[in-house]
Amino acid sequence: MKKVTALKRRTRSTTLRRTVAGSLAAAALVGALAAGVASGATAAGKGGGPLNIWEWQGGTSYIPVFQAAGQRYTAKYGGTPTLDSVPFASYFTKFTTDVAAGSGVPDVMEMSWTGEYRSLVDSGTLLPLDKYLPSLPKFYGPVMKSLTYKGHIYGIPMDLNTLTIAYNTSLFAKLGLKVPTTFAQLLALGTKIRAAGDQPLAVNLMDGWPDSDLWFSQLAYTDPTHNLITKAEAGTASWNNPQFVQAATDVQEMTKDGLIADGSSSLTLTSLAAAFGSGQTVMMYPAGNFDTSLINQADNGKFTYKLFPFPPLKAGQKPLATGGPAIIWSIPAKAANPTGAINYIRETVNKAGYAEEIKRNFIPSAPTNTSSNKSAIYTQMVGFQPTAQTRAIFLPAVATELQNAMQALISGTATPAQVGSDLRTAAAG
Amino acid sequence: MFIAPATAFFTLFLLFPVLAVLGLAFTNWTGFNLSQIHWGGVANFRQLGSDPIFTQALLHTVIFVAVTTVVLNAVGLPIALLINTKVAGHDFLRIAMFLPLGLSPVLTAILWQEVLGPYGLINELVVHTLHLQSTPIGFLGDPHLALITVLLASVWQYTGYNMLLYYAGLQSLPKERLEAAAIDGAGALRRLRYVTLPYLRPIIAVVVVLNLIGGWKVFDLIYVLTGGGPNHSTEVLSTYLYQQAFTLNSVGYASSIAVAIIALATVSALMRGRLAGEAL
Repeated sequence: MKKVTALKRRTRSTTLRRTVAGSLAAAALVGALAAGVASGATAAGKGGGPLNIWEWQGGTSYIPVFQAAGQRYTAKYGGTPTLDSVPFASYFTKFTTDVAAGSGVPDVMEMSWTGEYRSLVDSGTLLPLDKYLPSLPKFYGPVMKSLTYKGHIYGIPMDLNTLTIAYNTSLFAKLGLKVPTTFAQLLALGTKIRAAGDQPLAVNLMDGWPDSDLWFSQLAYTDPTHNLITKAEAGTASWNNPQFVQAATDVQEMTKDGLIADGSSSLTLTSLAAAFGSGQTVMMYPAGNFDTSLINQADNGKFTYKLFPFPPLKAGQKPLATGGPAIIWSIPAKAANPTGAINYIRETVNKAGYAEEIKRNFIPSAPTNTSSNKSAIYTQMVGFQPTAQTRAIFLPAVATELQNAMQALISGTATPAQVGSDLRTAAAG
Repeated sequence: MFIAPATAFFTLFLLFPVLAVLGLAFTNWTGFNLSQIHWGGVANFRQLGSDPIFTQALLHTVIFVAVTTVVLNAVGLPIALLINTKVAGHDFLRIAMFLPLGLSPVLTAILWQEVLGPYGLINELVVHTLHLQSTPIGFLGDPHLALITVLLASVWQYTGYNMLLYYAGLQSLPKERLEAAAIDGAGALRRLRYVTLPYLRPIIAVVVVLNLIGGWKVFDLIYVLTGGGPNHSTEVLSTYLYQQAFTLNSVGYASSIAVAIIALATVSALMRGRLAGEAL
């Protein structure tokens, strides 16, 4: 009996000890969790906190730039940003689905500068960011103009790109060619290069968007106001006005005069850079900071190249490149941490953010000293930026139709006038 | 009880999406906010009738379905018959035909892009080695050639699939029937005509229907290879649907295209019973 009582006591005592220990462990766990939540809340209170950032730059040199901004964010505000590299092909599908489902929406998202930008604004999916602009650098004017929609800014440009023609300096020297200063000289250059048995200007027409960019390159000159697209988007100018049609006529001339290299219609950006980099074409378009690394991979130091913008239609006109924002940051309306989001974005465009960009050949979105990067190509690109003209149409249907209409024009199945009327039809819905 | 999991799965992942698409086809919706779905009646279906790109995409899809179904069977069945005769090298042939099937359509598309590009293997041969012409052939960039190229890539990838199904069918063909026919004096062609083909007919029906359905919903290979371009010359229903839904955010209109695809696939599926029924 005594043994049984002692056993019961021991059992009770063990149970008690276990209960106390379990309670203490649970309390510790709850405490730790509470501390974590409190620390997160404190970080969020300081403008930090956890952040979910979406981009489609996985594997590119942008990632270290994003990561460095994240480290500065953590140091300043507390909280850890998480980068989620979503492939572009499924990026907006995933975003649309998550917004509709109301879960998994990012705090900061990379934004496409055509099409999706305005349709997302129209659907009330993005936050207006105007109130944060005073605390950000003074970005280049043309870029901010292109990001303004319905009087508000919904995207912050992190860096920019310019689109120009790259030319093989060795082949230019061998063929006795000079950089053209007028459009007529450029066409004549094509004839000379073909006469020498070489291919003139390769363009990755297969990708679709460069077809549109050829048109934008000419519109920079045919529309001296540089405002016609904005007017047409607002419905105060026609999509088949003479300036738009003239830009298409210029592109048609490039094709008819043999300036565009054979096989361009089957080239993608990678194969374009490979063809140019291996000396199979004398020039290539478009060249920008998005493909210089591809060219460098292909050339193995065999030759050097330089850049020039599509030359003006008349002698004496200032050469103009086209360009626009590269990485644009937006904040979804359903973001859980919008304050942290803008603080992260600020870290990508402040002095330290721009220093990371310059180091990796990206062009900052506001005027800043880039002399630390000694690359000749980079210096040229930065030089083109202040006057770079738009390469964006923000009406998705018109932007899509421009690609198709230009493909039809280049393949000889449409006329410049048809391009204009197709754009007008697309805009009319 | 036993079929509850399967029923739940079927309802959640098949029935519900199909019904949702049917419903959305009668709405105007950008795909973002469920509260912004507006009833549009049959407007989307009316628009299908007047949309020249939809007509073009439908025509290309019909061509794709017809050509792939005919060619895949016209090539796949003879190869299966050949392999079944245990001709010399039949093992190699079987593996070689089956190998492309092991590649994802995306990888196949990238591979063909490299081979058929202006500086790819074929053009290097045509232009620089054999000097057959001075300029590269625009297999994927020429609007007149792009659809043919896409068809060839698809046939290359899926012939092995048909071959495999027919070969499996031939394996189960009772040898006694062939031997009896041979004893009765039937030659190889007569045995094929009166024994093998009738025996394979239910399999042919299934394979044809699978090819038809696969053709109606073809997407990945074309999307990666040409994106539906140049200038819609390889646009098919599913690439156009994708563009409408995810580039132009017209989910309602995209759903009406999806309904068209579902209708075509359903008609094809119903044909199986008819084809197989005739054989039984």
